[in-house]
Amino acid sequence: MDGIVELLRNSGTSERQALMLVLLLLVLPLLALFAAQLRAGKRITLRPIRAFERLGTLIGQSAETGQPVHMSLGVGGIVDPSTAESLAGLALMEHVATQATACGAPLKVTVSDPTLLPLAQDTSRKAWETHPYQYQVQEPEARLVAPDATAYAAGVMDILLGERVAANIMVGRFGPEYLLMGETGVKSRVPQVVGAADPQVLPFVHATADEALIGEEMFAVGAYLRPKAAHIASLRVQDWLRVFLILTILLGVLLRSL
Amino acid sequence: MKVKFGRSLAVAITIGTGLLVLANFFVRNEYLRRVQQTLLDWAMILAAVALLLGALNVIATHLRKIRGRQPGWVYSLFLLAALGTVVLLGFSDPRGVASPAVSWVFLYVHVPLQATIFALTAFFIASAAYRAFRVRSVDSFIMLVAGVIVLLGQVPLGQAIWDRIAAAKDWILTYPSTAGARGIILGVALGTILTGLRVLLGIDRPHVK
Repeated sequence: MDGIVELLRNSGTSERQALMLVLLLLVLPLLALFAAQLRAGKRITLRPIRAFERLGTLIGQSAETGQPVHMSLGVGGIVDPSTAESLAGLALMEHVATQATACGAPLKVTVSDPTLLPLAQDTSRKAWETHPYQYQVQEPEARLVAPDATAYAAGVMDILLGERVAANIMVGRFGPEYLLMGETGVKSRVPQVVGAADPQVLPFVHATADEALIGEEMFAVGAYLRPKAAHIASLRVQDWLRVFLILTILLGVLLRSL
Repeated sequence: MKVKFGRSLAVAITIGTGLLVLANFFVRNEYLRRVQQTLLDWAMILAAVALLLGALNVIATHLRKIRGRQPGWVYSLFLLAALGTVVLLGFSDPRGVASPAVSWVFLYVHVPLQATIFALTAFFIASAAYRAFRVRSVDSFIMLVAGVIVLLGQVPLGQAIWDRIAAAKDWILTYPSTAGARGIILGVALGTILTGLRVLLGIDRPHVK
């Protein structure tokens, strides 16, 4: 191991660069291979994730009662390290907005970071424009609550308490302020589906959400809800890489111990 | 046809920009470094414009609420008044956000309000913990036992009950807890890499209409 590190240093390559290069060299061919297999007709069975299954029921209940669904994209944006989580939230929002518009369920989307607002507005408009009778249904509303995480939480608490929400869906980057929103949802008896990646927030999610998307499950939105070959292939690559990492860790432990 | 061209152009720009930034991660090149810096500057400018659009969105939302006399419209009035006051204070002094008036508002209004709202988490943690620790399954039983050991391991009463409780607490935090957290972090890292690559390869196009 030390020999490899020494070799990398001598060649002017950092450990981060080498690791990223190995990952890219593994990911790209695997992605192409799995996508080709799926396009050729190979069938993959995905394990059921209850959070995704629950969405349809919640949107249906909202359409029946006329009460809105609230969707939060978290406190992250798209020009910082929270981009991937925000994009995962946005992918889920695309599905929720399409379903809600299709069955006439009102949808309110809130964001905290202004960089996410144009994307959220564009996604809701896209869902509305694709509806065959768009002027007969309400366009989903996407709005900025506050750029500060605590102020955003206070704004969402107000929506959950005062706007008689039928369901609360929250997927994106959340910090400790999540508990303020999640617990308010529980107290208002609003069914909640929550996806978060921060290990420090996950206990709060476990305690407050009816259905949770834990860590990497958030990034499986595409494969489950827009099942295209490339998305399912991407999920398979993720699984294979995980196995590769586990084996590498075990090998490292063995080499160090022997 | 026009829409299709625009879509392809947006995807091409995304892929090109992403590849440039990725190339800068692997290759040390002054030209690439400067291009990346320019792109980052552009991103900052766009973020600032987005903040302005966000402020307009907040104003529009609350004006609608006031005009429609929706429940809680008075609070919207307060929000707009506060927003207007802070903007005026900022513009009335050449030092802008560094002016004493804006600093005063920040220190004596914003910070205490933020602390007040955040203080609620203490009570919310108690009620969330009560729900999480209710024994409904084997999982919640294990969580309850681990939680009780960690709680007692931090207070003298725990030491009085069992002298090795601090060691048990440390073991739980060092091994099962850290292992679980690292497993989640690794999964998230892989998901992040794949999400980035999907955008880079034009598979995911959240920015294209």
